[in-house]
Amino acid sequence: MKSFIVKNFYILLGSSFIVGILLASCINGIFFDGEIKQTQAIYIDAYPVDAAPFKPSQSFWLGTDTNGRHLLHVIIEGAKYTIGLGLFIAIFRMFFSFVLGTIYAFHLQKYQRVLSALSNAFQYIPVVLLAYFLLRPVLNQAFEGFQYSFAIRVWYEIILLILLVLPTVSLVIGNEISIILRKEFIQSARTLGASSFFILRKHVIVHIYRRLLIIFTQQVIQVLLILAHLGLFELYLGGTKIDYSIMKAAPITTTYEWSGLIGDYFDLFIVYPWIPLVPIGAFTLTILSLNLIVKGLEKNMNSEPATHTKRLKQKEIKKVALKEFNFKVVTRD
Amino acid sequence: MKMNFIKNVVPLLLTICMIVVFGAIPILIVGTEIHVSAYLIETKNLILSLLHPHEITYYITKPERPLFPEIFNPYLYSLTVYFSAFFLSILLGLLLSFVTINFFSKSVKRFVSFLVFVLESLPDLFIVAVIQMGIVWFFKKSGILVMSFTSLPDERSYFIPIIALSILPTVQFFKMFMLSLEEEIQMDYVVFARAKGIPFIAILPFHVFRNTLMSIFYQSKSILWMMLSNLLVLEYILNMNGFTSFLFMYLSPELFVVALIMLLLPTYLLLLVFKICIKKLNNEEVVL
Repeated sequence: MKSFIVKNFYILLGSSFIVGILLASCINGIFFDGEIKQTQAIYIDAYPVDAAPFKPSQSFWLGTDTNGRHLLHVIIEGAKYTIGLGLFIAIFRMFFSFVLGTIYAFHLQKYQRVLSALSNAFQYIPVVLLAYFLLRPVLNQAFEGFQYSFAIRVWYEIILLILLVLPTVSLVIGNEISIILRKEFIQSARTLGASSFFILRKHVIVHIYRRLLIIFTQQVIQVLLILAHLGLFELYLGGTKIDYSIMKAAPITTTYEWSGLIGDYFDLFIVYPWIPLVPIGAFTLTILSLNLIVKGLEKNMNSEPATHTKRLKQKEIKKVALKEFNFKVVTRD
Repeated sequence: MKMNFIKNVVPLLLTICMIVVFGAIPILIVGTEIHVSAYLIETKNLILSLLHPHEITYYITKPERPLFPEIFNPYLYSLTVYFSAFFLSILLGLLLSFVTINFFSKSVKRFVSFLVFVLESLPDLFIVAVIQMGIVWFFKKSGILVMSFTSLPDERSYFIPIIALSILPTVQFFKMFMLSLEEEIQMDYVVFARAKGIPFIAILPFHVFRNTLMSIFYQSKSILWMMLSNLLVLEYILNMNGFTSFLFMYLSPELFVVALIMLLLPTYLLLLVFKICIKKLNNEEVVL
């Protein structure tokens, strides 16, 4: 009983942080129109005594940035975009890799060596570098303004981030499936006349959904890491506005999305170290809680045997039995 | 022999092909349009320039400068940091796991595994940022500058970058060593050796370590590639004028392809040497 609480405790702790910050972010977006509290200066008797940025203190929990925006508020407002994007991309990664992995496991086992060699070759290329190289021409604002519309830029980034890992993840999932397909009970199911789709639905998914959940969470972490890195290199979701005028303003994000915040604030690092550290810390906490979930899931997987194919209910068994035994007794003379 | 050679070189060639294929993709997809013919021409150009590396140039604005003798300076610097961090993390991981297994009690071990979990989940960005903050704070308190933030070609700092780069791999190696050592310790031959009176500390390096080489290989494969992307971040944050900063500044398809191949070759070579060592020591085959 105690281990039951412990193993769920990890998942509980991790997911409560993520759900909590997402909820807060949505509430802020829906009920307060995504407004950010801003304090540009503190007045005592109509005289300004202090101006932004403020250090973290009791009245400003995480401090403020140079424009006086409260960083805690900024982080909460941006959470839904960043975490949402991470979940979104990871879901599609999983979906496509599952489809590809299934095809690989059921039909392409002949070409296993070629395919794994190809996907191995793929893993030697650092993803961040590749993503940066492919995204920069599209996301950066050229001197004459953006070449592509906002929607194209966003979808290009999302599709690219999905495609980049498909070879590796599909192979991982495909190998998991093919291990199960080699088991004896699959052979007997096939002998009894089960179609491939039936086997996938009734036998394979039941066995690997825990593993899939773990891979999914790891994918969310990976997406968040890539987003953070891209943000550091000043490639923001939906494009980087670059000010080409003489008074070079820093590149700006409009959604308070975390990776953009990292890029925005990073120039302030030496002067006001807490400002860039806040979005980086937000990323760190999110990844930490996702890792907690992974740990909980892994414990769950090791401690319990996989649930087997759903048992037929007692009534159905009787029905089947009746059908089978409903034969006429032929007596021979 | 010939078969072996093919086995070792084919993955490398495949990866290089892949890099070339990716090199021209910004030409292939322009917004919503797809230009196949331009892509093929660009790919041909890339292959041609790879065959004549001395003619490759780099530029932001004209004039163009030849890439080749120039790039070796930052390249060697980055490689030094990269590989020293890698070997340092293997050494540290080994040392720490030996100490933990030999001297620590169970409750301490549990705390250590918690610490490993937390450290492992920290993004590299966070670690490097905190280290830099630490340097600044230390400078403000004591007036000693551990590392200068403006690195010139002649005075390059090695100490802090190597330490910063080796933290995450050390944690991962440590975790892996702990897992495989604890598994290995329960084997019969270890029990037998201990029964014969050989001290535990003597068994560990000579017998157990050899048998964990396989898992070190597989782990180091993924760790090496993780460290590459960490190196990018590190060079960016710590303002080191290394290879990747050079790459980011003058990014072009040709440079991208050449740089990725230049990063690939030494890493691949290292893994190959590893593979041969394992073959000689344990007579075990590993897949590159």
